[in-house]
Amino acid sequence: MVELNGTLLVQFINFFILVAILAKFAYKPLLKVMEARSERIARDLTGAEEAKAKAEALRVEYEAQLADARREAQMIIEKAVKQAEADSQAQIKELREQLAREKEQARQDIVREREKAMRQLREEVVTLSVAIAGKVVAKEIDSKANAALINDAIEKLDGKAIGL
Amino acid sequence: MELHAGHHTIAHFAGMSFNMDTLYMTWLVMAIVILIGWLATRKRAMVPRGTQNVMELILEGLAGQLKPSLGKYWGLVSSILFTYFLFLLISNELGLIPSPHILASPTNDLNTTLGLALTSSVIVWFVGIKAHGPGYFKHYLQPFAPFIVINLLEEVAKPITLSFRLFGNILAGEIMLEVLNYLSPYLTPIIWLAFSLVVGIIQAFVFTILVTSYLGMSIGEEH
Repeated sequence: MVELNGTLLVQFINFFILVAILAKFAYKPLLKVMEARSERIARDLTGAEEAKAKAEALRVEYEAQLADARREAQMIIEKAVKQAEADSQAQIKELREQLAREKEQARQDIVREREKAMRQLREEVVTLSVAIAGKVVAKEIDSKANAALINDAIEKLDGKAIGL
Repeated sequence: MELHAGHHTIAHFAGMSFNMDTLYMTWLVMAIVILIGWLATRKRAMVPRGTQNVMELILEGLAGQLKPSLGKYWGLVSSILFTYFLFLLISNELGLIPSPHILASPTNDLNTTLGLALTSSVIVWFVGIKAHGPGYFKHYLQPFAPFIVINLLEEVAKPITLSFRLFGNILAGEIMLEVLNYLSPYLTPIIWLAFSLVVGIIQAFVFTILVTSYLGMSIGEEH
């Protein structure tokens, strides 16, 4: 039942033939694919790690930029508000000054007009008085002394009675 | 009852006798292994599917177990170790396929198992010489010259234990299957078949891992 014979030799050779065939047509190509796969996985993992780090750096940078932009916008708004306040204050002040100037101008105009009116009135009164007195007194007093008399009367009148 | 397992059809050629059934089964196993290899590599893809996936699983599993003990010599012997496992796995399981005395495990013949064990001895020497030069054989004289007797005995014992372990397991399994089938057909043999399937895988793995450890010893000697 158990007998060693030529089969042993054939089996010995058979095994090496099988190794040669499988090594060439099965293991070599298969191990190549497996190696390529593990290399690719390693490469992909490294790539993913790098991409993650890059994305993180970008995120930090963008956040910093965003914060800067916010701060800047805040500054611009504050500046604009201050400027607007200052502008309106200046405008109000200018308006007030203009108003005061116009008031003063108006007052001066009134004074001037009043003086002018007074002068005209005085002249009218003198002329009228002379005419009236001339007709009343006729030829008793010469017209020069008459005018002086009337003017004197008007001076007095001017200060007290009329109140112009 | 007449047992079929272990009986061989003998042919004579050039003054030698050959167990033809063993040889036919061996060639069938070789064809199956090559076919599996072909199926696995036919459509090689980055994302493996089907046979490629199974084959990669086996090769990767074996490499994970065996590579650490061989270091840089792994590449030199990886094909041989893969082939031991695949050939023995298919051989051991082939005899379990129910067939009217057609299929048998080539490993139920001591000629096969001893032949394989002797290939492992040759490979161990080859790797030993590769690692240490011709001085590799000096280790038979260590630690003292008289130890050559024990060392040579060990060298002979290695292939013998390897071959008898495998041969005994597989032949016994097949004989048991026949006996159980004779005693109580169907149910008991089915349970025994399930057990033998596992035995077949374990024996293939044990053979491969023992050869690896012998290789590891030959590389590691003189250290």
